[in-house]
Amino acid sequence: MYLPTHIEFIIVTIITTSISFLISLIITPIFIKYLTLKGKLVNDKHKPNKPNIPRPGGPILLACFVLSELILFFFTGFHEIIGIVITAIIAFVIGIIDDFKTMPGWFKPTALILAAIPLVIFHANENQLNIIFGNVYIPLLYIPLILIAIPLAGNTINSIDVFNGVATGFLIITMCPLLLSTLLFGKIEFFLIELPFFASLIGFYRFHKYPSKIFPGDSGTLLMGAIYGSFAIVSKSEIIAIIALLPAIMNSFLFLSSVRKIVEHRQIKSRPIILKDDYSLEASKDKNAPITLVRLILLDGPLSEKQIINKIYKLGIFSSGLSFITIILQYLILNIK
Amino acid sequence: MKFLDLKYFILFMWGLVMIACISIIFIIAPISKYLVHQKNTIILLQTSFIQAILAVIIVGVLIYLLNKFKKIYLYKKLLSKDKID
Repeated sequence: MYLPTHIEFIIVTIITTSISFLISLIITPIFIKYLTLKGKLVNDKHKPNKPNIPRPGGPILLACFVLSELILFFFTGFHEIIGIVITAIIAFVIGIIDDFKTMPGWFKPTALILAAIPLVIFHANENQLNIIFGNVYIPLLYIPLILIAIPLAGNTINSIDVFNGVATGFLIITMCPLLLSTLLFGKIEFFLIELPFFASLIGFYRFHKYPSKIFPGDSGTLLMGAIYGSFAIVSKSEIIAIIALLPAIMNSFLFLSSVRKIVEHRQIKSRPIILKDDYSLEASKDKNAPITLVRLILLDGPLSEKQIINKIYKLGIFSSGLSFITIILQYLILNIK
Repeated sequence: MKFLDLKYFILFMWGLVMIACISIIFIIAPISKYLVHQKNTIILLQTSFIQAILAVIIVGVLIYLLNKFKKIYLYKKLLSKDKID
């Protein structure tokens, strides 16, 4: 089998990254028009007059990802790419079902276990788990870990997508430590595989950022989370990814520990935040309302949507900073050994 | 950075992740070290089962600690809000 040299691989990656970025930049406005014509619109409840915003933008992210990764696969023959692509497609299908039909709370976490199976079949993981202070040889235990990791990553990103651009912007920030970790502790090939996805996120963010022109929907957020989780597994950067995602994990933890069951957020009767007449948001005083990251942010006083988004980004930058510190720590430990 | 800043919550969670990593390295990992060249499937299954139980216990303890911290954090946060109000 023909094996490309590193230089050839880097050239193909630059081409696929550019394609991925340009597709998301060019196709998104066309797709926005298509969704508007088809009437696939939802209200942006936090804005005056509640404008209609097209949803879902997940198909654009999927198209960018699948196209760029398949080009890389045909060039390199890495079987891990196929595993990640199938995982992404399954996560997207689960999300698109939820976009068009309100499913019960258990649906997304349970169905996402299916999305993790291709990673196991294509043996995307190594038998050793990298945990900062060393590696642990857990050949059997790693399989259930994968089956837990993908639903967790998908739902975590899905649950933080509460305001304009947050899911995409937060993921762009948290991809930075993952890219560095892959470069240092994974294979260079995996770093190059991650770049097209990063580029498509940047392209999509241009339309998803505040004020949004398109929403990714569950198909977009589950896809993003599943891909992020897959990258963390193949690049041996699981702990680095967990640390970078801490604000989103904290949001899920606060929600689950206050509600005490897996439930779809649309089914919650008392809302954690209240929209005021001036379109600023304040924390709910209802004791039965779930605790969320945004409700905690708003405990200091009412804020506008834009201010909340900036606060979430700052938390993402902080957790990514902790990820970078952890990467340095791991690098030093590896070199001492 | 005030104690009630959300960054402290994240910092605490980071500390817990680090504790989990250290626990895995010093408690769970040594169990399977001798298995690297081991071909006996039964022993491999038994060891993995013990490792899984230990991992679940560690994660359970850390979630318990996080829950305790959440309660203290929320109590102090709501107390300081009442003082302002």
